[in-house]
Amino acid sequence: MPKIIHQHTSLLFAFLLLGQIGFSQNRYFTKTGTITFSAGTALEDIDAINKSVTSVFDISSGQMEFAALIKGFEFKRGLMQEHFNENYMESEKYPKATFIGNFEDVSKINLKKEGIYSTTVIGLLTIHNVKKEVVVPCSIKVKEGIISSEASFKVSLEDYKIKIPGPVKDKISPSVKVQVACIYKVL
Amino acid sequence: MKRIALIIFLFLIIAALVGSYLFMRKPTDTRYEKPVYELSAVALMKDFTLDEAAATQKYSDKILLITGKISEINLASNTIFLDAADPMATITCSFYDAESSNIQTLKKGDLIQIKGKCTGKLIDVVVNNCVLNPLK
Repeated sequence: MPKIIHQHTSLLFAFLLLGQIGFSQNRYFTKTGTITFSAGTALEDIDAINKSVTSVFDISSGQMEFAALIKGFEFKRGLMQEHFNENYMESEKYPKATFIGNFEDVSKINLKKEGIYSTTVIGLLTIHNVKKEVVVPCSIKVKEGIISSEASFKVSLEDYKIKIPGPVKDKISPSVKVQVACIYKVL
Repeated sequence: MKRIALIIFLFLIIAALVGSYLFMRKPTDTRYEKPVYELSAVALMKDFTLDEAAATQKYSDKILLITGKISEINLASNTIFLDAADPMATITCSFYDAESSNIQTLKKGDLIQIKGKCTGKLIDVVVNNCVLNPLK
């Protein structure tokens, strides 16, 4: 019996992530999106990359979602990666970061026509178990039938209750620059 | 007295070396690590489907040796998806960039074994820092 319930919850999660409308050519997804961030200061470079980001968007409803595993962020140094997971992000307790939102004006985007569509995505960004509404400029590019998205924004550590201890405070920027890049496929 | 000074001096040198080693150390390199679990892609997915929290506890951050059939290859991102007998989900295996020449010779349906570090589950179970393990 528990097995059946769990299968249902995982399916439910999948459908939540994918939106609720039937399968059609309106939805685009990727499981190989990238998120990079830099949290360094003049004293130290702190960069990380996650290459297995899942994202889905629906061009008819304008809904857009992202999910990333915190442990999937890779740093150049082992110690940074450990501090990031254990002390700052507490990835054992909060393994995922998610975004669920909508394009501000989805009708401006025409996926059948080549071009770069600058738009805005508004929604809830959840990091470290803190949900916050964010407004993020985003561009959707259509070129030779390939649909990709790019976004760049800043995340304040304080907003997401990520505490940096005194001794390393000078090395870590309180405002982290985040870049997202995805190449989508038709679902 | 001289001897004590020498001991303290040596101790400081060792401490500095250990400190800089810890500080400069690279993240775990899967290629030189022994797998903690050896299992099939289907079994791994099944564990996550049954109890995601328990499976996350058990597998995340661990080096896994996974056997499975290729359901898709994404060359642009050096990623292979392994079939996990699930209509919605596969195992996402993100390879080291240095592995790209090994991936290019593979095709959909091939049975392969990979070694990598599990990071948890989104829709797919995700495995990072993958390398191809020659099948015996």
